[in-house]
Amino acid sequence: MRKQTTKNLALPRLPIRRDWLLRSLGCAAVQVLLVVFMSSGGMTTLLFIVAGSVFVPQAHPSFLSMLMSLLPLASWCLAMAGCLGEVLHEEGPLVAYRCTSKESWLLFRLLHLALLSIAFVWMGNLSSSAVLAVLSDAVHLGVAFMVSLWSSLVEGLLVAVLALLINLLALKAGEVGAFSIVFGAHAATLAALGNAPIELAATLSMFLPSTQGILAWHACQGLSETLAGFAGGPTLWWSFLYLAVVLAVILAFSARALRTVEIL
Amino acid sequence: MNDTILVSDATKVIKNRVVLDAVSVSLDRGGIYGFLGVNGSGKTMLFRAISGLIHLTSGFIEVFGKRIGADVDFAPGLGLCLEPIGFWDDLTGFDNLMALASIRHLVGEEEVRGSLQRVGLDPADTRPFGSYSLGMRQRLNIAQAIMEKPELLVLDEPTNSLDVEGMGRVRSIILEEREGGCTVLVACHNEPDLEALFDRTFLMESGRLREAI
Repeated sequence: MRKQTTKNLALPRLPIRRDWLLRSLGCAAVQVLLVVFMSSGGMTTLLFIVAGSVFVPQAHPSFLSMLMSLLPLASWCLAMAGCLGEVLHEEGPLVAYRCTSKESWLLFRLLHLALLSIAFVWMGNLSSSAVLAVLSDAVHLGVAFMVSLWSSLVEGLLVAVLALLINLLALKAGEVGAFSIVFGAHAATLAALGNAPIELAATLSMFLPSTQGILAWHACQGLSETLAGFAGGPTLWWSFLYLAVVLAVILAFSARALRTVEIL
Repeated sequence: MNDTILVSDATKVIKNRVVLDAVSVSLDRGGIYGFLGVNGSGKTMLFRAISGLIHLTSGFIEVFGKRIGADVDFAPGLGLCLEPIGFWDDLTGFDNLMALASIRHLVGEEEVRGSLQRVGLDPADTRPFGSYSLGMRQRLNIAQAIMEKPELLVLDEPTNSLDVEGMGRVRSIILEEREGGCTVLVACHNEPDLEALFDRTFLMESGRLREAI
């Protein structure tokens, strides 16, 4: 065998897994379908849908609306819960030993998953906006796109954080178990803060990963009303940076945890 | 340079079940070693341990002087053919191998084409892996294991799903690899043609290993 070059110290460049992409497209389609069913709600529908991870109990929407707004994200998180386990089992015997270490390959796949999380949010939100603008006279395409774009900045990272946590936990607790724990905690956090006194909720929401989307939601609500230089702008950037740091910490932790993973 | 594969008291327990039970064996470089046993006897688990895919509960394994899990994560110079076969469904056989070759940058298009031809696949075949028959999948799996000119070739039931012509190719490949200085480990069931190639044959039973006389 020829001597290995130093190039293999870098993350391997492997093709994106088509089944992951198809699952994401399917869940984005669920979101668009929901928009079609709720199109009479106009801009409110858009804010519910683009802030799918961020239902707003403080506003006391109906239980059904809250459930529907969570459905695309929940379905995506469940559909993607076993991605890391799948690559371990299927790709492992082909790919792992070609890398200098297990973690370089698995980190690469986790990065794929994080990017796909962001792509899922952008695909779903932008296509929902376009469909809603066509179906509802109350929604202007430009405004809807702006709301989706800004909201997706934060939501994409939030969904990536959820996806990585679920996938890492799924290696120990199984896919359904990990989804139930992580997504349950996420939804419970939102529900708890939604029913907490508004001052307490506003303060806590600045510092919890799950609630960063709420800040984005409010920023986007402001954007939809003012159309320019919205007051929530700095809050949106805070949420973006905060979640980017959380994502980086999870990836760093993953590198250590994945060293001991076995390919059975 | 150490020229042996040394397995010392290798024990692996998974969910309270002993899948490798104090396995010890020393294999010299350049031989063909056969491992026979019924399903679940521990052959594949031993191969995974030697490769570095799993960690031992106790004992150790050294491959050509490198201790698995301490000096290196995976056996050096390894070519591995195990199931399941997790190629990318939407890529052709050639593109699948090129994607794998891009990880180590040890071989280029020419070598990849050569390894496909050795297993009887057409490098110019434009069909995606998803449409391959079981036999073609197995051939591609063998091709990826040999394409980077391994020092240690680990083949777990390499003739599964292969026709008579494919089995003949596997036998030729094993002999050619040995000629090139490669150490070959093969697990199989009751295949006299393959067993005739083995320099040493081992029997696995309930995680225990003994040499056939």
